Order: sequence, then C-alpha cells, then structure tokens
Amino acid sequence: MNGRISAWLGERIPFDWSHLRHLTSEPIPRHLKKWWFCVGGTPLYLFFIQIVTGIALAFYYVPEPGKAYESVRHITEAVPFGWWIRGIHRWSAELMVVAVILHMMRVFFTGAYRKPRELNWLIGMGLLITVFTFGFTGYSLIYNQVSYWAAVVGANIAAAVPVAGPYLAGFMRGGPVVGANTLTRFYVLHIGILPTTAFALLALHVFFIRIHGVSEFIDPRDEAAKKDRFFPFFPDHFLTEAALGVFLIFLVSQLAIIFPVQMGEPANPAVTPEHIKPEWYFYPVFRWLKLFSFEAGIIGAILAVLLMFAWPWVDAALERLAPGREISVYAGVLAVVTMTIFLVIEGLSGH
Amino acid sequence: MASSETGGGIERRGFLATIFMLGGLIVSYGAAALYGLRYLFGRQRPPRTTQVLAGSLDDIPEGGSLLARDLTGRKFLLVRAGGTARAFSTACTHLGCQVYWQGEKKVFFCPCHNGYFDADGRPASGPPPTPLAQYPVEVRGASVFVIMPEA
Repeated sequence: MNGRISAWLGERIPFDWSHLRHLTSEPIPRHLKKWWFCVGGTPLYLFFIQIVTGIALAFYYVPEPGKAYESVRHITEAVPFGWWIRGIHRWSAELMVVAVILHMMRVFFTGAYRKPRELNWLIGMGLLITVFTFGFTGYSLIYNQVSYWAAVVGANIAAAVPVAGPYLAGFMRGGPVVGANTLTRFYVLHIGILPTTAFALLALHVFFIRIHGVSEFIDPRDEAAKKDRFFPFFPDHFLTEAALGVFLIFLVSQLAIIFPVQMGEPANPAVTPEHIKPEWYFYPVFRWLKLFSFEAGIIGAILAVLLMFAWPWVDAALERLAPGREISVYAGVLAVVTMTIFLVIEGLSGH
Repeated sequence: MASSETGGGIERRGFLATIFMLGGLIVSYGAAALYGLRYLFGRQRPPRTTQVLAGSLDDIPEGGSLLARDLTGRKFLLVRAGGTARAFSTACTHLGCQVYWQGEKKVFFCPCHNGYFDADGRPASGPPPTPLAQYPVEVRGASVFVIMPEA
C-alpha cells in the first residue's frame, strides 16, 4: 500500500528527495548549540505568528474612520477570543522589535556584518525599517487618539524632510489632512505592501545565510571546539529552534492574557491630547527630534540611518586606519548607550 | 517487545519522552487552534435582548405616541397601530438628535435639520440617511413589552 502511494506520488512529483536531505544537513557552527545564539530565528517565528493573527484580525477589521475603532472594539469585546488574537498580534509585534534589535546588536558586536556579509547587513537594515513601519502603520489602524495623532505627527515629520518633504507628507496622508485616505493607505501598507516586502527580504536574508554559512564564533577557551566545529542543521538545530518557538508562543499568549490590550480613546481630530507619545521604540528618535530644530533633527536622523547602512564599509575603513583597535565596538557601545538614555528620558518625561 | 525488556531501558525512556513531548505539543497547539477557529466563526448567537415593560396600550392614544424609556435611560417612541403598537428609537440617524411623532401628518420629525421619517421609520425628506431603529413589540393583555438589545 505504502509502496503504491509513493510510486503514484513519485510519478507525479518527479523529485529526488535526497536533495532535501542535503539541503537540511547544512553545517551549523558549534556555538549555536547554546540557545542564546539562536535568537536570530525568533523574528522569523514572530513574523509567522503575525501573519496568522493578522489574517484573523482582517476578518473583522474595517478600515474606515467611522468604523475602524468600533470594529477593533468588536474584535476585543464581542468576538470569541478576539481579545486573545489581538493581544497576541500586539505583543508579538512588541517582541519583534525587541528581537530584531537584540539580533542586530549580536550581529554588530560579533562583527558578523564584515566581508563577505555586507549585503546581508543591508538586507537586515531593510528589514529593521520594515519592522518599524509595520509598527507605525499597525497602531494607526486602531484609530484611537494615539493612532490619529501619531499619524498627524508622522506626516509632519515627513513634511520636514528637505526638498521631498511636502510631497512625502501629501502622499502619506492622501490629502491635506489625516482622514479616510490615510487610513486605507496605512491599511494597504500594513497588510499588503509591508508583508510582501518583509517576506522577500526575509527570503533573501535566509538565502544569504545559507550561501555564506553562519559566521563562526570561536571561544578560545573551548578545547573541544577545535576538533568538533560543526553540527548538522537537522535535527539538532531544528529542535533548538522548535523549542524556542514553543516557548515564544507560550510567552506571547501569557502576555496577551496577563496584560490585555487596551482600546484607548476614539480618535478626535478636534481634541489634541495633552501628552502625545509614540510607541516606546520611537522614543529615542522622538527625543532626538526635540533636541534640535525640526529640520536639523530630521537631517540628523536620516544621516544616522545612512551611517548604519554604510557601517560595514565604514568599519573596513576604520580597520585600515587603526588595525586591531576594534573601533566599531566602542562606536556600537556609544550608540546603544545614547539610544537607551534617550529612551529612558523620553519614557520618564511627562510630555 | 520482549527483546527491549532487557537492553531497551534507555530506548523505552526515550520513546516515552517523545510521546509526552509530542502529546504536549498536540494538546497545546490543538487548544490554540480551537480558540482560533472559534474566533474565525465569530459570534453565531444573536445579540442578547431584554424585555422592557413600556406601559399600558391604553396610555397611547390612537394615532398618537408615547415616549418611554428603559431603566438605563434609553428612550424610545411607541406609536399606536390598532390593537398593537410599534416602537422606534428616538435617535435621528443623521446626527443623533431626538425625533418626535407628529400624529396629524403621520411622520417622525427631527427639528435639528428638518428631517422627516414616514410612519414605518423610513427617511422621507431631509438629511437622514437610514431608517430609524425599530424594536419588536409584544402585547400581553394590556401591557406593552418592547424587546431591546441588552445595554
């Protein structure tokens, strides 16, 4: 019976499955036996959770200013387990930002972006921007006060970009003010353009990891590491990732239950809230923009992002100037400390 | 089975561990999938309703109306129609002003923007976009009960 089924399938899918075996036995560097080096797979897992819960939320969400808030409230309060699905979507979004930042710091401080992996750093930067745009468009869809005024402030920030600013802001809003067109634009971005972009970039990201192999991180004190440098992807590494995945889904589910997502006040264009704040991951940029005039702050922020994109080449140049001094590490520590300080100050400040 | 009795201690332990792990995965993901399905099916039961005793049929003059409210303060208009009555929300569908019944013209009138609804609550003239909300009525003896969605 089994033979007949596999013969039937074999004729219709003429594929040599031993290729798959070859594909899944990719050598993995020894340090990945420690789970805390495996969190690069976490964003991928969270992305999968986002897709599933996001599709579920789209079953009930209505992207129209008069109905958006009510539809989110309907999901949260009336649909069975709607609060849970929405909570998981929201919490895995927050964890996604954390995971992406941690992954990026790991790559940065272990120098994994260096030759020949510069291109994958660029793709990773693209993914970082995609994740932030996901967050921004995502919380604007609820159409509560934070959503509305975040969209207003976001458009004002875009408007202050030199030269292209007014066009950017107009395109973002789809008109002179934030309204129905803005909401549908954000919706299309959030459920169409961004997932497609993220999927393509993720595929490229993983493809580059496969063709380069994971960069080795050798602990000089580990004697066994010198003989036994690699282990196969399947089943060892696969099981580590699977276990992390189970833990993650448990974690987001618990977070959704213990800290349920709130509704906030419905959007009211006539009432500017006294203290308007974005999500926590925009705090550093928000604080930075308050330090200077709007234009200077925005030019500074754009330059900082460009510097991050260019870092593999900046690092190579610094390495030629001062070999072995690891200036990148100091620059990285400085950046992380500055961002953290900005985040804390903005978090503590009342307005 | 007998062969693993002697040398298969580790094997059996490994087998049990696998069973427990797989079982745990199936139970937890299965529960999550069930919740997910319930979410996707949505609420299939109609929203819950309550019966509000609005008054006696004799309180409503033929062709006239009676303004009543439930205990949470929601207002509705009862309009006499022979041996029974019909209940409409007083909230105009345009901007939520209070409509009232004009018995001689047999229309509901909203004074805010000159909106008219006919005797069935359908918009007749002016800005109202949709009909007035209507509630089912049950007359038992002389008592008029209005079936309203639970507040």
